Amino acid sequence: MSKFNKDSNVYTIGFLAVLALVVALVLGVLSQSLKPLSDANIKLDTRKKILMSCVSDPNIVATKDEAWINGTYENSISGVLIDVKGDTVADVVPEGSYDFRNEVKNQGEERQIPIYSYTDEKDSTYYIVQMIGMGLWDEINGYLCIGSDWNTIKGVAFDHKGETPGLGAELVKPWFTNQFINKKLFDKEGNYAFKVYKAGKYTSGENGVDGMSGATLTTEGVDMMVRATIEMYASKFNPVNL
Amino acid sequence: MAEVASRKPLLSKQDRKLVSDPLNDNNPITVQVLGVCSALAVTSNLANSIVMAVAVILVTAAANVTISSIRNFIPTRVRMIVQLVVIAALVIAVREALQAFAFPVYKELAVYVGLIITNCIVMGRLEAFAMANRPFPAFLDGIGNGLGYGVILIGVGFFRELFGAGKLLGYEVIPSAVYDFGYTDNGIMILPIASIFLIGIFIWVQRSFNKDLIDIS
Repeated sequence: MSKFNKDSNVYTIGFLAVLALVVALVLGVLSQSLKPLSDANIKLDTRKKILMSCVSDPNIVATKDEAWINGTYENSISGVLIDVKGDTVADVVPEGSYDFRNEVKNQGEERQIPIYSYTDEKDSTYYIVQMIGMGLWDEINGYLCIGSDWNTIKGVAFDHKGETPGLGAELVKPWFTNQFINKKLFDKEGNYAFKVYKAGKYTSGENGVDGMSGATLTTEGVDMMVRATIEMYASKFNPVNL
Repeated sequence: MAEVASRKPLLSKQDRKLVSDPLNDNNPITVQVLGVCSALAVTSNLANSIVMAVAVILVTAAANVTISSIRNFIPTRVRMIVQLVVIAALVIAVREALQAFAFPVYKELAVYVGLIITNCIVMGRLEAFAMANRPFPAFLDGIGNGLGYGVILIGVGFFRELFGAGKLLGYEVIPSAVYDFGYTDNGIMILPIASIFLIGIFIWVQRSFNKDLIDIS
C-alpha cells in the first residue's frame, strides 16, 4: 500500500518531529494572536476583584459592564507600590507587568507590594492590600479592604485556581465574604486576633468568621493567607503581636 | 475495520446513523460508560455543562478529522502518542479561545477543560473510528459522540441546578412562594455525587424505553 516503511525508526522519529513542529507553530500563533484579548480580560478581572473588596455592595460589581468597572476604578481607586519599610517606591501599580506572585517569593529588601486606596462617596478613605496563599489544591488569592484605622475590615474579595466546586470554591461566594465586613483584625491590646474558624465553630465576636463546611483545608488556607498578609504589610498594620 | 466505500449523497442513511447512534443506542456515557468523571465534575450548573458539551463536541470532531486525514502516515508504534498530541493541541486551543472570548467561563472551567485530554471518549473515538475511516465519516462520528456526551451532560446540569439552587442558567425558576411553603434547595445536588445518582437514573430510564440495551453484555 504505502511506498515507505511506516515502522522504521527514522520515519517514526521524523514524523514525530514534524508533528511537534507543526503543533508548536499553530499553538504559538494562536496564543500570540489571542494574547491582547486575554490580557485585557485579566486586567478587567483584577479591577473587578479590587472593586468587589471595597464597594458597599459587592454583588452589584458582578452585574456591571466593562465601562462601569473601568470608570469606577479609575475614579475611586489609586495604587502605589511600597517596600518592606512601608515607603512608597512607585506611584502607580503597573497593570499587566507587575507580578505580585513573584514579588511575594522575594523575601529580601527589594520586595515591592501594592497598596490601593479607595475613596467612597462620602470621601472616606480605605486601603486595599493584596493577598496570596494556598488552598487545598492550588493557589488562592484576593484583596482585603481595610479602614484607615488599619484594623476594621471593609470587605474582602477572594479568588482561587482549583478549589472544589461546592466546597472550597465557596470562598468566593457572598455568604462567606460578607462575614468579614466590619470585623476587626486586632484585639484591644493590638495583638493579631483574627481567625477563620472551622465550619460551625464560630459563634460570635468581632475577631472571627465561620469557615466553609466540607472544606477544612481551604478554610485554614484563608486563615493563613490573612495572617501572612498582615505579616507582609506589617509596616502598615503595626501589629503588637502576630 | 473497512473503509467506508464509494461516494454517497451528503448525508446517507449510514452517515445519519453515525450521528444518531451515539445519542441513544451507543451513548458514550449511559451505554459505554465513558467520560463519566467530567460528567460528575462540571455539571453543577447548566451553563458550565453547555460550555463543556460544546468544547467536547468541537474537540472530538476536530481530533477525529485530523487523525483521520493523517491516518495513513501515522507510524503504528506511536499512534497513541500522536493522538494525544493532537487532542492536547486542540484542548489548548479551546482553552485559549475561552480565555479570550469567555473569561468568566474560563475561570470556572479552566481546570476541567484541560481534563478533556483525558476524556476517554475522545481517544476512544480516535482509536476505534478515525484511524480506520475517511475524514467526513470521522467528522460525523465525532459530532455524534460529542452530542451524545453533551446531551447527558446538559441533562445532569439541568437537574442539578434546578434542584440544587432553584435556578436555571442563573435565573430563579422556582417561585419564592414555594420556598415560603417550606421547600428548600437540595444541598446534595450541588455536590458531584448527585451526578452519579442522576446518570444512574438516566441509564434506568433509557433502558426501560430501549429494550435492546438490556443485558447487552
